[in-house]
Amino acid sequence: MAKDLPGNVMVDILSRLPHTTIPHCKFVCKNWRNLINEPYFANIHLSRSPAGLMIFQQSSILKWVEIKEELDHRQLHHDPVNALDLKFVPFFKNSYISLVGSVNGLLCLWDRDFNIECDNTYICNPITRECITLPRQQYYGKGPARIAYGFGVGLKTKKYKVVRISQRNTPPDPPLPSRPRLIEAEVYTLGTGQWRSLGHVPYWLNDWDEPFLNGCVHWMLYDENFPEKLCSFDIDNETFQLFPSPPFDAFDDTRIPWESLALLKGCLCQSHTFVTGFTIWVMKEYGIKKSWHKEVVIKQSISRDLDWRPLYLIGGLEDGTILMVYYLDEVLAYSPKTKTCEKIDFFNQFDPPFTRMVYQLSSLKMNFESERVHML
Amino acid sequence: MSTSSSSSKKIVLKSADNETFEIDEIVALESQAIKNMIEDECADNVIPLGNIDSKTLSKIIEYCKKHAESPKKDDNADIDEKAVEDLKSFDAEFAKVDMPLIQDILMAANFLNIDNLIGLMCRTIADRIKGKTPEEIRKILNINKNDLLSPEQEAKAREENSWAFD
Repeated sequence: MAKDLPGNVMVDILSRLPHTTIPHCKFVCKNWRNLINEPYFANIHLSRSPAGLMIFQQSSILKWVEIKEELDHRQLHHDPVNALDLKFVPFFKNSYISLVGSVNGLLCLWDRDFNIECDNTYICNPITRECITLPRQQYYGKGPARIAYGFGVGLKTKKYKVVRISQRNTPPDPPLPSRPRLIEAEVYTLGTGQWRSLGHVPYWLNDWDEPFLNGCVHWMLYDENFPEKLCSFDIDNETFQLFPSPPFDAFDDTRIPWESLALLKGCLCQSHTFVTGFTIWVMKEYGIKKSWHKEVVIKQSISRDLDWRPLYLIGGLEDGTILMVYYLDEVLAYSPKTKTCEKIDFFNQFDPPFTRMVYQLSSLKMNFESERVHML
Repeated sequence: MSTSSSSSKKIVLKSADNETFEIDEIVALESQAIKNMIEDECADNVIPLGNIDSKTLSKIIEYCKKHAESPKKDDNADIDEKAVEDLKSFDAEFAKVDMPLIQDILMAANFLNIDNLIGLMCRTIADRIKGKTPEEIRKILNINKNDLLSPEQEAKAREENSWAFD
């Protein structure tokens, strides 16, 4: 019976299934297996996938959490199958791995240990368990450096690219964290098999957050002497540009230099920490300086024991709830409606410390031309 | 609101088993395919639907009537929430039928190009096979036995997806 349904209708049905049911569906019949293996299916499934969070714990365990939004409440759902401990995956040489980017369900991972000359970049889809190793970049594991990454897909070209900015000093320069003398970018287009140099970058980038939005990767700047405090990299044009930053008072005495850049409901947002509280600016219209709006001010007094420890943004839910990481070991949910902050107990099962990222589940297959795909 | 005023234009649909259904034009317009036919003036008094039986067609007309009567979302931003809830519970009740009929309705809705109904039926089928094993899914949907994977193909697929079956 079901095989009589036209392919497009069948894809419509399958794309509404949770990703955990999809592998089982491949066994149902040949027709379904063929449909699911088509890139068309992955794209539709991606567009229907619920938002999620990728939690990266102790530099080795990836855990992903689905956010299910009901009419009047949210539900965070973690299925034990949705975890992958990279320590036990022989494919990875060591376990000093960082999560440095995420787009369309693909993750960019960086495995680095300068003691053993290891400095590898991987692209991985934890849902399909596919992983590729990028070839060696020019600046491979040479001494201490602050490496900023970006990972995204071009709006026009639809090409997936990794950009890597190597920020280092050359001896006998003073060691970092002074402004590095050398800031050089390289870019890798998935499918091409080689890194290309983009030369000198005039901005010293913060290597902590790298949100991807609207075909561009964004970073905060360490440099204080530019008119804007943000920088963007256009994946299509491969150009770095100053990007409009929120008009906040950088010289406020009570400011503590912990900031984060993230996405809230599809808008770029930046958080700032002050002695008295925490503010979140949201860029309502992408790229428009005037659209930066101070959306949330969380006074220290609203929460039991929030103090000056770092608070970083994770992202927002449809109902307006904002998720934050507090001192790398707690997830807090702030509700703008009630102006209250609560700890999400759900995350207690994750041992700290962890990094985090807004993530979209996807069964996107990695069909790129020149990289060999490994199954984890 | 009533759509069955005597002055409104009528359309007649004829099912595969030669049953005729007279409906208001506004109800028929829920189908993009019939709408196109009417706009292109290639619809006669009677529109024959040779691949839809009367049981399925009457369900489809029931759905289109309800949706044609309900205020559209894009017409008015502040339509009352009660109407939205009402339509939601209608849809939920409407979908409480057996799988063969759901598939027949889906096939017909696809042919007649009724977007909302396609979505409702796809969602219903997806909900019924969610979390089920391949064997259970085959049974629920009565999948053709001739289209099963060979043992070799099954072993290969199992290897590729071993994580999902731990």
